[in-house]
Amino acid sequence: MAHAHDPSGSRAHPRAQEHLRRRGVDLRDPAAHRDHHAASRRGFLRTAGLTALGTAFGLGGGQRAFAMQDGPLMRALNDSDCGDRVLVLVRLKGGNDGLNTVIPHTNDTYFNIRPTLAYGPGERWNLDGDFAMPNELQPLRAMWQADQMRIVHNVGYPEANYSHFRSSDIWASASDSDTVERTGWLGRLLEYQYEGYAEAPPVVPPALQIGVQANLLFQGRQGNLALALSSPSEFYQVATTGQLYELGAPAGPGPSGDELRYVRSIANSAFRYAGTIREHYLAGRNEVDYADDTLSEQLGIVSRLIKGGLGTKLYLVSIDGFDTHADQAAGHPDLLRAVGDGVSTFFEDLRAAGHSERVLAMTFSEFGRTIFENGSAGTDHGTSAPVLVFGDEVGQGYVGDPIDIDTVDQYGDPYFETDFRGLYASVLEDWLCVDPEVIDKTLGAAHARVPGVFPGGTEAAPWRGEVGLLGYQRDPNHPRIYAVKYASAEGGPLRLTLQTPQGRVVRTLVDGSVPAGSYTYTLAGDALGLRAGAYVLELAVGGRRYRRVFGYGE
Amino acid sequence: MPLPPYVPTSDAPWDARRVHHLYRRLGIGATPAQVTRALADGPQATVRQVLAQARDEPAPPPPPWANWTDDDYDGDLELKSEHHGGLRSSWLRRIAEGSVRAKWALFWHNHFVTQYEVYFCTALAWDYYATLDRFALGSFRPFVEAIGTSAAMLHYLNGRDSVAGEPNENYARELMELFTMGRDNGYTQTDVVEVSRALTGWRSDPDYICENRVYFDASRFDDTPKTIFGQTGDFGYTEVHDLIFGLRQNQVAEYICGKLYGHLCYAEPDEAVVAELARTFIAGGFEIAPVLAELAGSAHFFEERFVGARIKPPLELFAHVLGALEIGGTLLQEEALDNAVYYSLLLGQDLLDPVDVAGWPGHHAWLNENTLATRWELLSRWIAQRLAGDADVRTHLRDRAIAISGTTTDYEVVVDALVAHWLNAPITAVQREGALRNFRGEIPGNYFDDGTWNMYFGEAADQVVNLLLYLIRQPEWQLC
Repeated sequence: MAHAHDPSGSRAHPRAQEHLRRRGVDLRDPAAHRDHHAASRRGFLRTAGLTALGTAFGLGGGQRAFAMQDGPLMRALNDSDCGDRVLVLVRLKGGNDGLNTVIPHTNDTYFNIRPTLAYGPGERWNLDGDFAMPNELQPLRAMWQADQMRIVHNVGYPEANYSHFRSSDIWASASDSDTVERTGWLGRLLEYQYEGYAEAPPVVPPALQIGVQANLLFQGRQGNLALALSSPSEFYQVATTGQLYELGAPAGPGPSGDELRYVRSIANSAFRYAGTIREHYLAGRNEVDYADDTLSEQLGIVSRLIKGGLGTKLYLVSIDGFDTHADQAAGHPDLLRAVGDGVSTFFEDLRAAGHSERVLAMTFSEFGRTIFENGSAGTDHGTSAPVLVFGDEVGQGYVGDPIDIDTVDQYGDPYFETDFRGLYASVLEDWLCVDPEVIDKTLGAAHARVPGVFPGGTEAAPWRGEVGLLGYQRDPNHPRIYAVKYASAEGGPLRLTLQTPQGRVVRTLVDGSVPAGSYTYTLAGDALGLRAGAYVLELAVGGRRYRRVFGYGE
Repeated sequence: MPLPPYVPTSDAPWDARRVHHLYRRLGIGATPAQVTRALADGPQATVRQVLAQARDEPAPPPPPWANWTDDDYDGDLELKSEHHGGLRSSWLRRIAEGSVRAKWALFWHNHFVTQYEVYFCTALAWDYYATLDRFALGSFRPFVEAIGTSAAMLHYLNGRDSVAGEPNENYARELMELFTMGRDNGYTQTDVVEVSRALTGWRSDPDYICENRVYFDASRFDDTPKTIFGQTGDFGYTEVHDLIFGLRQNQVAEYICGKLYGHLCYAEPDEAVVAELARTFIAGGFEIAPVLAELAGSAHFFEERFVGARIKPPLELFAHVLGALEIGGTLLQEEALDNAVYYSLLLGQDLLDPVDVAGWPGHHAWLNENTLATRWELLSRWIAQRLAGDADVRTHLRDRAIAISGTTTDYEVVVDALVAHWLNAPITAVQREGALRNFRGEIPGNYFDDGTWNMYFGEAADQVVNLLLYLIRQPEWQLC
C-alpha cells in the first residue's frame, strides 16, 4: 500500500472539520471514554447456558434423565431441501471500514476525504461499475467472477449508536437502537424452535462459535444456545480427544492429581457434545491449506465440521482488530487479507468435497467507520458499511443503493440504506427457509425483506440442450399440465422438487436413481392439488442444484 | 512423637499458594493482606494466629427471636421461615467473611447432626447453632454433653422421650456410633441399651411449643444399676461420658481425629498421622484446637499431594467466591446470601438439614455430572445476577482485582494473578488462553495494545466477572 505517511504531520481532511465533533468516538478523549461506556453497561455479562454443553439443567440433583431431542427446527429443516443448509456469520470485530472494503473509485470525493488512506490505481481491483476492492481482497475476485459473491451496500440501522459494545449488542439482538434487548436474534430463533431445550438439549449443538462466550448473538431467554469454545486450541482439544478437559493434562501428585482427574472426568461426561464434535471433526478433513491466522483457523474448523456432517446449522467466527482509529494503513489491509484468504479458502475447501452449495457465509461488523480520515491516519466510529454475502447460489452483483458519500448527516456520516434486520430476515427466509411468521417474531417486527440477495431461480426458458433442469412447457391442450424436462449427465441419484420461492418443498416430483439421459416429468397440477402461484422447480443431480421459477396456472 | 512440623523447603515452599491452602482448609481462603502477613510471619506463627483469632472471635449475638416459641409466632409460618432463613444466611455470612470458627461449627453440624425439618423450631435451631459455635474449637467432652442436652438433639434423637422402663435407644446408639466412638468400635448392643437407660430423665419443650427449655426430671430417670463396657454402677448422664471418655478414650480419639483429618487434610485418612493426632487429643484432655494446630502446622499437611485435593461442599463454593473477593459487610446483600443458601440446598447441602443423622457423606458424593453441571449453572447465575448486578460490588471487584494483581495496565498480569488467587492448581495452556479471551471479552483487541484499556476502563469490572464465570467452569474450581 502506498499509504506512507507521517502520523504527527497528518491532518484530518478539512471537510471533516465541518461536522460536529462526535463525543465517544475518539477514544483518546477521556470524557468521550466515559460516554463510550455509559451506554454499554447492561448485558455485558452473559452466563453460558448448559445447553451449550449439551447438558440438561437438573435441579435437585441426582435422578434426571438426559433425553436429547431433535427440535422442530431441525425436523422442519431436514424435511425440506433447505435441511442441510448452513449459515456462517463472519464477525469483523471493531467496526470495519466499509469505504476501504468496497471502494467508490470513480468518485473524487473518496480521494479527497481519504488523503492518505485512499486506494490508488494499482492498489485495487475493479468489481463492476463504480466500485473496486483493495488488492488484499484479491482472493475474492474468483468468487465474484463465478457469481458466488454479493455485496449488500450501505447496511446499518436507524439512530446509530457509536459504542462498540452497544452497537455490537444491537446487531446481535436486532433490537431498535433505543431498546435494550438481552437476547440475540439467533438465540431467539433457536429458542423458539427448541422449546424445552433446557430439559432436553438437542442432539447436536444448534449453533457453534469459537471465541469468548459472552457474545449476545445466541443468547436466549434461558441461556445461550451456542456451543461456545473459548479458543481454537480449546476446540482442538475437544475435537482430537473428545474431552473438554484433558484427562492427561498435568496434575499434582497423589490425591491432588487423583481428585483433579476425577473432576475432569465428570466434567467431560457432563459435556455431552464432546463425542459428537470429535466424531464429525475426524470424519471431515481440510482438502486445501488455510492461511496461518485466527480467522482461517476458525473457518478451517468449521469446514471440517460441515464436511464431517455435524449437522449444526449456525456458526459464528470472528476476527478482531477493525477498530482502526490510528495508522489504519498499518493494520487494516492485513485484516482484509485474512478475510479474503479465509473466505475463499473456506469455499474452495468446501467445494472440493461438494459441500459449498449448502453453505452461505456473511460478514457483519458493529458499525462502519467515518468516511473522513481523521488526524491520526485512521478512521473513527461510523455508521453503515457493506455486508458481503458468499455462496454458490447467491449470484453476483450489488444489492441496494450504494453509500452516498457526498450527502452526510450532521455528524458527517452518510445515510444508511439497508436495515440489517431486513437482510437477516431475507437470509432466514430464503436461505434457512424459516417460516416468515417465525422470522417476524424472532426479529420483533416485520422488517421489509431485502430483495435480490438470492436469485431465487431464473425465468422459464425454452428447451435448451444442456445438462440439468432443461425447462418446462405447458400442455397446449391443458392449462394445468406441464412437461418438465430434465437430464442427468452422469446418472445416479436425482431429485426433482417443487418449492415455494422461499425454498420450502411443496411436492417431491421425482426421487430416485436414474441412468444418464434426459427425461420428461408430466406435472399434472390438479392431481398434485397445486394452487396457482409462483413456485420454484429444483433439480438436484450430480452434486448440483438447478432452479427455475415456475408460474403455475398463471 | 508429634507430627514433624512444616519447615518450608524448595519442594514445599511457604508461598502464597500454601498460605491459601492453609486458609482454605481452616477457613475460606486468604485475602491479599492475609497472604502478605502470613508470608512475613511464617507458617507456624500463622497457624497459631489463625486459631487464636478463631478462639477469641466474639460469639454471634442472639437474634431478637432467639427465645421465640410457636406462641410468639402465632401461626405466622412465613415469619418463622424468615427467621430460619436469616439464621442460615447469617451463618454463611460469617463463613464468607472469614470466620474460621463458623466454618468449624459447620463441620460439627455435620457431625452432631440435627435436622430442622424434624424439630422445626427456630429457638432450638438458634441454641443448637450457638452451641456448635461455642465449642467448635473448644473441648470435645463438654461439647458432647452440651449437644446431648440441647433441645434440638433431645427432640431429634428422642432423648426427651426416653423414660425409665421404656428407654429410647436412638440417642444412645448415635452417641457412640456417630458422635464419639465410631461404628462398631468398642460397644455392643447391650451397651446401647444400658446407655439409653442411663440417659433417661431428660426433658425438653414439655408443652410442644418450640420452647427452648431443657430440664432433668428425676421421676423419669432409671435409677437402677446399669452395666456399660463391662462396668456396673448407678450410671447417669455424666457417668456415661466418664465411661466413654475413660474406657473408650482411644476409640473416641481415633474416630474424631480421623474425621478432623478428613476435613482438614484429605478424605482418606492417613492412619499413622491420625494415631499421632489421637495421642495429642487424649493428652490434651480432648481439646480440639491443639489437634487442628498440630495437623495444620505439620509437614504432612503442606505436602504437595494434598494441595487442592479436597472437593468443595456447595456452601463453600459460594463462600469461597465471596471470601476470595472480600465481598462482605454491607456489600454482601441478604438476597445474595439467601440465594447461596438456597442454591446450596439444590446442590445437596441444605444448611441445618443434613440428609440424615450420619450427615452429608461429602467428598465424591458431592459430584456427579448432574450436580457438577448444576454447580456451573447456579454459580453462574448467582455471580451474574446477585453479585455483578450490584454497582457497588462491581466497583469493589475491579478494586480487588487491582489489589490482587498489583497492576492496572497489563491485562495478562491481572488474569494470571486472579487465577493464582482463586485456584489451587496451575492451569493448562489451553485454560489460560480461555481465561485471557474471556477477560478480553468484547473489548476490541487493539485497546490492550495501544493503551486505551486499563483497569479503570468502564468494562473492567465486568471483565473480572467474565473471567470468574469462565474459571468456575474449570475442574480446579471444584477443589480446594
